[in-house]
Amino acid sequence: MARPPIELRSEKFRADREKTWRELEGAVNRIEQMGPARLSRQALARLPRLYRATLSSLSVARSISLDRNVLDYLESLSARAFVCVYSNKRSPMQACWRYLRGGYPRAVRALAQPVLWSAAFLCIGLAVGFFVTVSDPERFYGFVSDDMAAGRDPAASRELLESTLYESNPKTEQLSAFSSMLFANNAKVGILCFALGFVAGLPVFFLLLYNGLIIGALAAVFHLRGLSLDLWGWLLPHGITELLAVVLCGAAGLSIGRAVVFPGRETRLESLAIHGRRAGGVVGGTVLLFLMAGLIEGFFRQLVTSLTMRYALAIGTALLWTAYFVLVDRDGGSSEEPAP
Amino acid sequence: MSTFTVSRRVRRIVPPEGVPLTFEISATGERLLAFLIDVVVVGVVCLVAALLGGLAGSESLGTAFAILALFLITNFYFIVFEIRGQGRTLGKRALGLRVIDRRGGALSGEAIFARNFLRQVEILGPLVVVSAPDALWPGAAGWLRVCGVAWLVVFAVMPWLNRDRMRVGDLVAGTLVVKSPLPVALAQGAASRRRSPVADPRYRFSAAQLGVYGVYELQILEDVLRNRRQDRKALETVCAKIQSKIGWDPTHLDVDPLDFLTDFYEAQRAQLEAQMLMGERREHKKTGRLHPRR
Repeated sequence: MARPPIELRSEKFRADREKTWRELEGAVNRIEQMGPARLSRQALARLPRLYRATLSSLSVARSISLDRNVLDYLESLSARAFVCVYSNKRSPMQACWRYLRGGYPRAVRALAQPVLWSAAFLCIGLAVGFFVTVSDPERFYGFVSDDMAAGRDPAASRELLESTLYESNPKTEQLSAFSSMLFANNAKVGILCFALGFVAGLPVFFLLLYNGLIIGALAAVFHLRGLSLDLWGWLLPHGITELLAVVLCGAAGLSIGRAVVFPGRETRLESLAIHGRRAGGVVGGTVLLFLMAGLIEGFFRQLVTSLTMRYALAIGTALLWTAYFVLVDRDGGSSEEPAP
Repeated sequence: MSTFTVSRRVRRIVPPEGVPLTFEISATGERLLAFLIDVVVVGVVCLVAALLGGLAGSESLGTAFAILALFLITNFYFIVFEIRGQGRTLGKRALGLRVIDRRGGALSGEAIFARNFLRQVEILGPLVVVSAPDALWPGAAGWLRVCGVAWLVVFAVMPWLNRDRMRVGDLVAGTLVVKSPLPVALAQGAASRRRSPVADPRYRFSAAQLGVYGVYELQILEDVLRNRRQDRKALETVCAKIQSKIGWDPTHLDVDPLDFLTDFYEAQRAQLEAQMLMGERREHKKTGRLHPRR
């Protein structure tokens, strides 16, 4: 009596699909060993299709097959392929360039509300610092430490204050050290401002307000000696860029603070992930703004003493940033990553 | 041998294709070790940069170069390597770890920026607290200082406060550090046999006999057939055990253990898979034993 042969559907399923799995496995092995760049163009083009086919095999196998080895194999292969398919295939420089060409201004526009809050807090600090110091110069010592003031306090004479604005430093070599130091310090503060936003954004408000206070108080000191125009000519050429950068980092911090406190429809974790990465990108782009501000502050400000030139540059940077953040990639998202 | 009794910390990620994938969360110790390796690399590169700065023609140019280089290296080493290495710095690569997007998409540059900028607070904060607590809040009130320190401690221990071992940077960026999935070889079918399925009435099982075991036991048997094929003794033990459990007809005790197990595996799997298609998946065996069929 012949035993009816047992037909295992899951074995037939395996026999039908195994070729695809093996092909994907070969491609993934090569990518893991040598990176995606070494795969031929055709193989790379086939990768997403093989990946999707294998993923669907995994899904079917989970529901029809009890072969542990096949399941483990498909799990591992799909996970490895997922990592290969959904990974960055550009060099860091290319990725940055792409981001600056579209993603960055878009992300900043998406942060419009926190940017306004952040700017408002800086301005409030500035106004409070200014008016308080103008009405009672003694209060100046309350916000600004002696180190920071470096002699620029209400007791200083007009000549001394003026000399701090127009002292020109002929040694250009020292300027490079000075400007890289300014850049590194400011960028660190900016990054910190973002990182602190995680705690409901409160430290960010404090930082913005405090920075505003200091600038306002200094402005008041110069104002009292009739040097307002000169002070702003000294401050704004780099200040436009630098304060914008501080405001953007503050806004990035505030946006993640907001994501934690008011997650909206998403869970807190989900909302944090969505806003956190956008804010992280904004801070990354803003490091470039700090670099520019450092260069202007370190070189231009020390070398150029003409007030007209200083204001011209200030207005120039203001126009440049406005144009960049408002106009670049307006149609938005047209250059999004195509799905793999 | 069989690994499926070891409990692992896993997380299912749902990629856009909608089929959940399983990743194993990396242990905190591994991540710490990977981080230390990276710190050593960063330290060495910083040292080289500082020396190069010293070699530059003039002192101030050298200083400029050194300041710039230190800033870029300490802040961007992790970012550049995670973008280049698909979520792996040198340390992570050495320990077989990688960063993935918790929400199943591509690991974006923005997420990498976000998770690494948070290090400023996570690492520098506690370092400053330990080394120079006065530098943080000069002249701050005592209670404010205590709050600050407590807050930094929360940052530092965050990975132990959540199931997926996420640090604050991972929370903010929506990322996850997992073990890089290791390759598994696709083996021959477990039911591959030395003989063709011949007519042999001895190797037939009733539905009741096949209903004794569940998926778990089936997969143990698969493991035995795959990896202990040559181990005659093991095969005989398993064979005897199954026979006693399912109430095997004692008149057929002279069967070849490998043939018996192969056939039993195949028949058992066919039945369980058919049941699974109908929506009943039984994980474990029934208790007790069947009476021998006469």
